Amino acid sequence: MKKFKILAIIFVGLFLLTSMVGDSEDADKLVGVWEPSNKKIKVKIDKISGKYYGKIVWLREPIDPVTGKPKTDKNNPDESLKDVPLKGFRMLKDFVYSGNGEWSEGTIYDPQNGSTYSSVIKLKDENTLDIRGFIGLKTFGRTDVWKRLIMKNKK
Amino acid sequence: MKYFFKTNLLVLVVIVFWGCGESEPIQTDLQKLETIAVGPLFEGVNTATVEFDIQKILPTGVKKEQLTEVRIKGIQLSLVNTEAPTPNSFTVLLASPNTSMKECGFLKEESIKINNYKVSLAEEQEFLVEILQDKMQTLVIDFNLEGDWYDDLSVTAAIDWELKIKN
Repeated sequence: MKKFKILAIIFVGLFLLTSMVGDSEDADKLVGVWEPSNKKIKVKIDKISGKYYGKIVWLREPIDPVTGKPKTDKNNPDESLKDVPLKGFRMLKDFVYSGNGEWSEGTIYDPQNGSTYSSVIKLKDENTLDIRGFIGLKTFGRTDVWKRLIMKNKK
Repeated sequence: MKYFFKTNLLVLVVIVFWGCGESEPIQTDLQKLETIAVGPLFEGVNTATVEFDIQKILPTGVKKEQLTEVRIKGIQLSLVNTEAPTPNSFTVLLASPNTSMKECGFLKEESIKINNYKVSLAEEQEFLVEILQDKMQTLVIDFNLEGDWYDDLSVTAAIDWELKIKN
């Protein structure tokens, strides 16, 4: 009987351990470089202290036609941050993996109007994300489809 | 019943007086934090991070939960490895497990060119109290490299805090 108990504890422990590793691997599927449907930017998502963040790493039009200088976050609601370079700006913040290929509790920032929305991310397949931005209720929002940037091997 | 009413009133008065108390500044040393971006690093935007606990720089007997007002008076950046390519911009952010990551300031190419590594600070800093009261903090420095660098890159941030606690 005692032997059976020990075996049961080991089995449950192993099961928990493998499911935790599996969860962590699933969560990290968000890490990579992604492109929104408008193809104006590329966003690199990385993991910092257990949460997921995305920064702009490429802009189709990096230079502001008015100033002739690299684009900055000119619509930022904080006046003192309007000169922050847009290249490198963290537009996805604080996403936490909630299981089933979904990341929640995050925000998405729209540099075109300086607004921040609550956001959830759903992994549709290995290389496709549904990113939903909303205010208040998830129902009232907009979803955009982002594609993973796949590096082609040089021949 | 009368006694009960009087006791409640007394408790209320004590709470009101405690709430109205003046915040008192506390002295801390300049906090030097070395952030590391693990190489190889490629041209473009890279990130250096470090986790810390503000409690470690607070005077003995002061707990971070007592902080009522927090401001950053200044941040000075410096590159540890002088052979590494100099980034042409930096953005400094702070995060903690239970709060949102926030921009604290940035450095533009114009400043870097004249060797001025003093960060332009965000005006809005009210979020700092909540971040510093959390169980730990993460300093994040995003920087833009113009070339590749096949090693780690460290950026040190010297942070001058203005901290106040309620007595």
